[in-house]
Amino acid sequence: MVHLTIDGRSIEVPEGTTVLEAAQDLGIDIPTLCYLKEVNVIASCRICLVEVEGSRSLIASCSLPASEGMVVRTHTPHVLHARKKVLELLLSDHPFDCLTCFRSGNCELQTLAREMNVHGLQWEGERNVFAVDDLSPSLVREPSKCIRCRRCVTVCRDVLTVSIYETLQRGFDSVAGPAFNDSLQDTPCITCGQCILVCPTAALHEKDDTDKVWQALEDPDMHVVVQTAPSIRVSLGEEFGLPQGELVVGKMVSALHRLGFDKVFDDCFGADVCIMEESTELLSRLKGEGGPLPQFTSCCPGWVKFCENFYPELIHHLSSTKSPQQIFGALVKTYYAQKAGISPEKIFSVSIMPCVAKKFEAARPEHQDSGYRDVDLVLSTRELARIIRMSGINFADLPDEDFDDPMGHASGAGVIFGASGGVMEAALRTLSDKLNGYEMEESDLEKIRSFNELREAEFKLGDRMVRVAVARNIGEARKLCDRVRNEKAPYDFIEIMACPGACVGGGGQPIYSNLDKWSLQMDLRRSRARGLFQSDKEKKYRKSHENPHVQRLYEEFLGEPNSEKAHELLHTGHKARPLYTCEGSFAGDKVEYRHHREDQGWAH
Amino acid sequence: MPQYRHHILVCQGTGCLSSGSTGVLNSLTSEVRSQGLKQQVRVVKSGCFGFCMQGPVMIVYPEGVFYTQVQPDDVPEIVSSHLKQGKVVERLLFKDPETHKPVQEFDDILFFKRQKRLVLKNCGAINPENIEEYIAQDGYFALAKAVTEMTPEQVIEEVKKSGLRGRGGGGFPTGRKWEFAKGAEGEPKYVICNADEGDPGAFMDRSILEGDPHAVLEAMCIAGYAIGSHQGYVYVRAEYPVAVSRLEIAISQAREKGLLGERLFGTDFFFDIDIRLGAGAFVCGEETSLIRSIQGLRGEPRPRPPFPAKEGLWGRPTLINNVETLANIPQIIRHDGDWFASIGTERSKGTKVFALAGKIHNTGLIEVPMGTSLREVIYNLGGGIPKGKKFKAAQTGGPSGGCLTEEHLDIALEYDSLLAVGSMMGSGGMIIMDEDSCMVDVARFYLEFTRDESCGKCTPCRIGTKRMLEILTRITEGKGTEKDLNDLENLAQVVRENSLCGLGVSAPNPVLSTLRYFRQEYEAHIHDKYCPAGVCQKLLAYEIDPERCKACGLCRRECPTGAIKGAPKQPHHIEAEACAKCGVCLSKCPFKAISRGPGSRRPEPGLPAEVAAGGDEARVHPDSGSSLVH
Amino acid sequence: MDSVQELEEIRSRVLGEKPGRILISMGTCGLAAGANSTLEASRDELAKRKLTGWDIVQTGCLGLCDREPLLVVEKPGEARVVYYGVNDDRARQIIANHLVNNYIVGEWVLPSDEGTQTS
Repeated sequence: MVHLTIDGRSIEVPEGTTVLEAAQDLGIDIPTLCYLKEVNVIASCRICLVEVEGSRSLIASCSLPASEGMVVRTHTPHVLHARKKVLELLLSDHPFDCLTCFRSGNCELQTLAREMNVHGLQWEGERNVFAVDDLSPSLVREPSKCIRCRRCVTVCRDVLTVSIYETLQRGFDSVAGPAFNDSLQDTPCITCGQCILVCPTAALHEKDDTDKVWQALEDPDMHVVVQTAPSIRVSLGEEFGLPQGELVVGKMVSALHRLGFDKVFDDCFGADVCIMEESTELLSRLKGEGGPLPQFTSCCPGWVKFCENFYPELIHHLSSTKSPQQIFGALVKTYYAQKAGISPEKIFSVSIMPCVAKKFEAARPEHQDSGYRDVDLVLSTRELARIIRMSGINFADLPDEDFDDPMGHASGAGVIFGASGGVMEAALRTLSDKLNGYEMEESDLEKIRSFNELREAEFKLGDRMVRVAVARNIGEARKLCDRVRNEKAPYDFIEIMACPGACVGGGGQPIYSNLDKWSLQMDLRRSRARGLFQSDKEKKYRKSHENPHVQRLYEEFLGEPNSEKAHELLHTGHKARPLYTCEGSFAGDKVEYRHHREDQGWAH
Repeated sequence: MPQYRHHILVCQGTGCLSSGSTGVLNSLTSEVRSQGLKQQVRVVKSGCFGFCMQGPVMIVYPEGVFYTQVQPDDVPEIVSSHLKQGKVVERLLFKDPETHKPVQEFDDILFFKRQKRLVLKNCGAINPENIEEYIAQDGYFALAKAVTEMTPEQVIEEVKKSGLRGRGGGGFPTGRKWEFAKGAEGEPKYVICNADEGDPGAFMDRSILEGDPHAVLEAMCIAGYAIGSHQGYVYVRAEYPVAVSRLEIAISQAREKGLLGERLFGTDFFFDIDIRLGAGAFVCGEETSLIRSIQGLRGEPRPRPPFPAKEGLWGRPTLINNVETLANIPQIIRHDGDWFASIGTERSKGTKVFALAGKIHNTGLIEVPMGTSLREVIYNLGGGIPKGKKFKAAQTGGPSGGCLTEEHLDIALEYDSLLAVGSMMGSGGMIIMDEDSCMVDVARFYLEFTRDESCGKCTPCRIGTKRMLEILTRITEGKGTEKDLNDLENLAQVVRENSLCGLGVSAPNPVLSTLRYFRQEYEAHIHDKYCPAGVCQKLLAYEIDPERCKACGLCRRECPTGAIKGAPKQPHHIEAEACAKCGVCLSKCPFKAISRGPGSRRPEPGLPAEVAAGGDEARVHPDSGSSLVH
Repeated sequence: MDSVQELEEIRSRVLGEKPGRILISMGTCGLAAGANSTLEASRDELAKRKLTGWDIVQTGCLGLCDREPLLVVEKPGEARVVYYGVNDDRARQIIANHLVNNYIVGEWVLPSDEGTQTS
């Protein structure tokens, strides 16, 4: 333990604690920009500077280990002046388009500028202006707004091991971006969107498709249906000031009805169908038919693309079952259209996802097994919140409403799809029932629910032991894939979700502008997961195969799981993808631009 | 036809004939015959060599030995000694009464005599590509002494006693650095030689590596022994091809001789060295960036602590020393710490190598004891300022340092005194400026360098250097304002106090120090739109000499802004307002009628002279302004 | 290398008798000033005049980069003489005059006051 004094108050902290963390323990808030706890501790933004007695210059507190007898001052006039001037420099190379910016209102830079009382810049000059990259269906990159904090670089490289971003060029010209400043579309970006969650500004954001939903809702000839992913019900409330992880499913359905959607369905119904198909597929693989073991889940589009990009030799391990979103999409324009007597070409199918990779998934050319585009439009949680806000709906005060029939009712198994380990658990619930004839113990399942490290477990299913694993994020998936490739992974079934904590922590979820504490983020993800398990507990049916609506679907339409019709509509293939393509479709070169000092305003 | 071993030319010109060369010729012919050399020596009569005063003269080939004042009596000796035994008859060689004895012995040349060459001892004296020559100069004896007679603690103790401080710029005590590295936990440990010399105008390290690479290798071995490391890396710029190739040769020769590798001098100590090439980023001279670069990562600094001594290359304890620092080590160990500490000053021990560049007579490399005065270096070693110009300033420490002016000529060159006057020792680059140098332009030059070399990681350096350069550029273009000067000073403080690494922290130094000593030059640029040294292009005035102008019209046609006016057969003139100072007219004029100069101090356009000069009264009545002009 | 004796043997062997040595500064500055052709001319001239036993040593920079190429003539027991600006023609003449005829070409010898202020 070491003892130090911060702003006149003594504190004892374990060795290795930074001054920033020690100050946080004392409730002293030192502002940061580039810092991301345990992920990005590079002391580059120079905002968290503090005065340390005996030191000639100011020191960045984020990377400064506390040492015995250290005397630190965090908010002296000298420190404040330095922070403010550094911030002004940062702002002098930033476009001043806050009014129309994506992150207006929850931009970390904007917040800091307000907190630091910046009302004008002492120094102005040339600014970096880069072309906007909006070729990806999921992400938009506006490098002109990049403040070189490099959180995207470290998250993508160190947590997710995808390594799309690196710092390009040097000095004033430097910027974080994909190799050669190519479009994200030409890279093996898995479109998970974690970089969006950590970006302090709008240099990275989702592609906004809200205009398209308004067009569809406006069209009187269109029957607009919407499916909502499990995780939306535990995160949407946060956008409207409700507690983190609060279950707001009733309000959400109610809001969607008010927005004018003709039918509000639950994507968890698709998840239930997914379990029927995927567990049946696993059974046949266990019998030595239908593909190699281990079987990988395939409901996460980020993970599927990762596998196609980086481990093409393993794509036969991917379950051929589509994701719940695409299963749902294919059924809406066939089963539902038939049942409701509506021509599928008049149906506009929207899905609300905690994810931006789902935009990419819906756009994959093969997803039109219904004869039409299975899912027409994907909106993230943030985009849904945006259209709710635009419509003047007072979300917090909405009454609870129920999903619509016939695809609005799901089992608890479908709901927990949004939490890490949820897909695995849902499959095990069904398989245990079918093969063992009894329910699994909750305590056994706890093993795969935790949010920490790689989870492994062994379960007796019928006459054999089945070994399963759950990867907590795509970085761990890479390690697993390496083991599978080297035949050193003795598993039968592996759940992989790209985002840390799975869909509850998806790249389309609400962004917090004080997100400089990565561990807090994990707390947030955990509380959302708790919300899902709470919802699960409240469900009448907690296993996919017990869902009467699913049973009816098979009776009336599909026949058996993995039937010919099910294969036609609910299964898909995967293809190897090149890592980098040279489409040459995007020129992200720096645009020479000089800010004219004569201008009163900030020309863009 | 016989193959003659020697041809002898005996002058038979009038002059030599009169001094008796016929006798010499005859004597030679008979002597050759009698000593049995007829088949080997051919005697030739030749014309006048023009050296009649010294006749009779003869030349013996192939060597070309030139004998003067040869008498027939001398001939037998020439034949028996020179032709038969190959020994030249020294007494008959030409002696110049003026240059023979007062020859400038190497050590008498004041340029060398006034230096104290420790580090450069072998530079220019041995063949760096032959390890045996280094050994002949006591090379590797220090390593032998260290590993066979001393404990690692004793080695470090000697280095500490010597008072040696880092020569790369910071001046950190080398012995303490070694001690930290030795005390750090973790295996393996590494020794790195920092040869990423990047200051413009500095080439001390390059010269040492080119002239005496083994001294550095020996020192790295000693350091390895002292801290418990077995692997060293020399991180050297790829732009130093000669140094790299000599290092490669030196390493392979040292391995061959068993001076690198296993069981050195029969002990259990082993050490090896490899080369890592840098790609020329200035920031990679900063130790944490250098380490990242060796690891194959983007060359960028990281916050310290942890210091490399604790967590360096691959996260292991690493000792990083600069080339010149290391080059001192073998001699410290061979003599002892006290010997070294007897050279230099109280707080700066030993010598320092400086690279002299710029407006100085002897551009080159010198080594002097710490504490030598700037005047001694510039005038007695550097040979003063060429063309009789006046000394203006010396920039030490390159882009990280500051300037020393006339008032500092008697300052002692050592770490602390230089810091005290706003400069720094740096790695030893010293650029001399004379009255023709514009100090604003000099500051701008260095800022441009640091702007280009900033890695872009931290905000103050990335954007701050850019903004400073913008302000300086405005000033040198005559667009500066009083606010710019104020902003520049504030900005310099922000960049200096808040940057992540030494590059940013020291980047404002050239600006701050020129502002401190040459503020009036900044003010002239800003208020008078006048560059006193006549350097800043945009502030120069072009004039046509009416006497020389032949009204050919060439300049008028070439001028891109149409600033030159004139009618046929009438001397042309340049309208200053329209002139873009591009200099095209100057280069085109066939009659050299156009000249360029600093022009005269001009008031700011549109303001009356009194306002520009700061007259308060005029400011009270701005309306009356225009009528006051002219 | 097993012992200090080995080092000592090398040292005494290298320091043994020789007619003399020519040292040519071949740092980057020397090379830039044409030291390579000075070296070649010197080698050629020594061979032409059959002056065996003379060593030509490539060395590093002497510090007077402005006066490169520098060539130093060392004869045992005699003054070490530094010549400056030694192009290949000068190198040939220095060998003929200084090595062969012991006549020091004063014109190209670095003056002893080099380094003092020039007026």
